[in-house]
Amino acid sequence: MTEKGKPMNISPTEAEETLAAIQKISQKTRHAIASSGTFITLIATGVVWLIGFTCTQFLTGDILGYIWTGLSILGGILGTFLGFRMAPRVHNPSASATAKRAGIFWLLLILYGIATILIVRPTDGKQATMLIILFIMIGQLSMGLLVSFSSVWWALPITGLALIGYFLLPGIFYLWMAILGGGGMIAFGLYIHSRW
Amino acid sequence: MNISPSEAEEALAAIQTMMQKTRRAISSSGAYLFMIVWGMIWLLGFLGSQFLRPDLGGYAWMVLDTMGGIISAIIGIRMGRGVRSSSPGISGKRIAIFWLLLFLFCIATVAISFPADGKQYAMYIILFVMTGWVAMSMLLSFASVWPGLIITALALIGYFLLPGIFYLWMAVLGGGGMIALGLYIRSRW
Repeated sequence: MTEKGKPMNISPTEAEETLAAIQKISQKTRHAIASSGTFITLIATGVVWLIGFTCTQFLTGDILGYIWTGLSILGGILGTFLGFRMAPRVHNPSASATAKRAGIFWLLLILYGIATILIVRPTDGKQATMLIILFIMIGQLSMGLLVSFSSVWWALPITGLALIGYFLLPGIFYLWMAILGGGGMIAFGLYIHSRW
Repeated sequence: MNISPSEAEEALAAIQTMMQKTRRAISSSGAYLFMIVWGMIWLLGFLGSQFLRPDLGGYAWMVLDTMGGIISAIIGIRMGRGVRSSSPGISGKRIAIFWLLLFLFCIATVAISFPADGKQYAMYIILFVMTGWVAMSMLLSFASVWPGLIITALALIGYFLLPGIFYLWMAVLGGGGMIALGLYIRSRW
């Protein structure tokens, strides 16, 4: 419909051209996401979650703290290293300013996450884990403000899966998060890398 | 690196000009209006929570939040008409989606931590609003992050150290502080 409310007439050729243009733009967007290094973050985080949550499901005691700390440090180093290796391909004058803002934001988000955990006073590990997951996903979605939501929408199904696991499958919550959360991130990262 | 006194003076003057320009940009954007509106809502809402029965306080918050949402939407639409940007639709849409998602995440936090008391719920909302504020600062201007951080710190001090007068504390320092800051930005920046 046109803005005056009359039907808009377009020929089959014009419609075909418009659809081709839309397809080209979405293809370009996908290529941009694939070459931006998003998949590295996804795979690194996915591996950390897969191993960490599997261990949390089957192990107990202090060793879990060490495993999570070790995995988080390793994942962080790996993600940063691979991210830097990809950095020369990206030429953007405002990239460093944006990266600085994003870095400060993540630091503040960690503090807000800690404050929330202090106020909630979690009664078990699952509650604390869910809060951490929520804040990580808020961080990812916030990055959508800077870049675009098309590169961070995956945070929503992960959050949905986490909530389903927490409320409906508490007995296998950690295993659920390992396979569907961690595994899903790895699979999606690989898919972006190879197909987009 | 050796620089002469006059070069140093020039560099400082340039920094000062930049800061002045940033302040003017924030002031003329009309963002202070949101601070005044939500400062008044916090002032009235938290006073209600402190002095009214819990059920009445809850209703007061519902009415105030609805009013705040409507007024904010009207201000936002009016501001949007006055702003000339190459991609106003995209930015506006992104911001709206972000706040909607943040609202859903706040509900998820409340559901996960259920049951909790009124002060805990109030703190969740404050923390999520301030998280949104920090995210907006990342998008718009990082200088505007400071009020958000100060309000968060005040809220945490009130919650942990002054639980008996937490709502009054938030009404006066949180709500009143936002109103004062909004008026200050309007008149001085």
